[in-house]
Amino acid sequence: MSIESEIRDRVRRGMLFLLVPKAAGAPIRRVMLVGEDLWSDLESPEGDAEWEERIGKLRADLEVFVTEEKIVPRYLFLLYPAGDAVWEIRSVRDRPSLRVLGLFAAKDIFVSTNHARREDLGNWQSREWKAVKRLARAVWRKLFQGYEPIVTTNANEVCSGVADELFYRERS
Amino acid sequence: MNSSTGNAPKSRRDLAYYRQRFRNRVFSRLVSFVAEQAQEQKVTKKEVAEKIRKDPAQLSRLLGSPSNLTLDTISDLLLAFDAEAEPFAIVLFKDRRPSNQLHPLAASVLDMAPPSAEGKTQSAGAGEKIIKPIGHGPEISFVAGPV
Repeated sequence: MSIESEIRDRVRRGMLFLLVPKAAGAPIRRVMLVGEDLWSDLESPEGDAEWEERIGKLRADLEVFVTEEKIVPRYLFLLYPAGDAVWEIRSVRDRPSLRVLGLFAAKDIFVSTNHARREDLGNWQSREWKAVKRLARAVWRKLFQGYEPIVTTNANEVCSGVADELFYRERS
Repeated sequence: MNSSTGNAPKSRRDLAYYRQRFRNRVFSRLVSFVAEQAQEQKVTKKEVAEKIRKDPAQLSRLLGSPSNLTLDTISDLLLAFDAEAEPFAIVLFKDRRPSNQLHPLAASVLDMAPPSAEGKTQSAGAGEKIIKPIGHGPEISFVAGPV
């Protein structure tokens, strides 16, 4: 069975949710699948003003992956170690800055596994960072036992439209 | 989830979403333009920074995140390439043409029957044809040419 079939099955079973742009008519160039925890935040009932602001912006930031032709270098990061294949999408507009972690099932198909507030993670070698990365891998294994994510350091292999060089570099 | 329409007050979430979406789209368009023109005109980061009277580190910060851009800095960056933005198109949701961009996996998921009722619902998701016949307006256009 292909990974796409597995994904359809997980969606059918309510384990993953397709992020469809909220704005009518927006394109779906790439696929983002969201796990239950993040989905319940995105679809949460109305909260206080700060929560509403944060969730609205988070959704817009996640939809960049789905809708935009170009993905800027600072939007998508591969976390250390590269062999774990865990990537991070940043939503940094407001406090708290949020990190959405996930792995690529195929090019342009991102499976979001977990998310965290940046302020809870400490420096990149912290126990907290290691824990969220381990959780990302654990959620992947739970979802897709037997299927490996794409393992690469080249963002162009997981995502189309990555603008890796903005400016002309003079080569000597 | 559908676009916010109708006469009800817009929710805070919708307001925040559309503001950020607007910022992101402008930013994405700007970055695409800069990347394309910089390669075509063979312009380095240092040269662009000098033209807008900033240092390269400041320029990197400006182009690092949508939240760092202002209307002034957008104008400056375009001017560095002898360009300016045309007044952008404004489109009513009801007048939007459907997008012709639909990833095949998304299409197949959206065509599926709704998940079984185990307390897990997916709004704006499985079983609905999300790409309704409302249009996708033209993007903000940047015009390159002599100042």
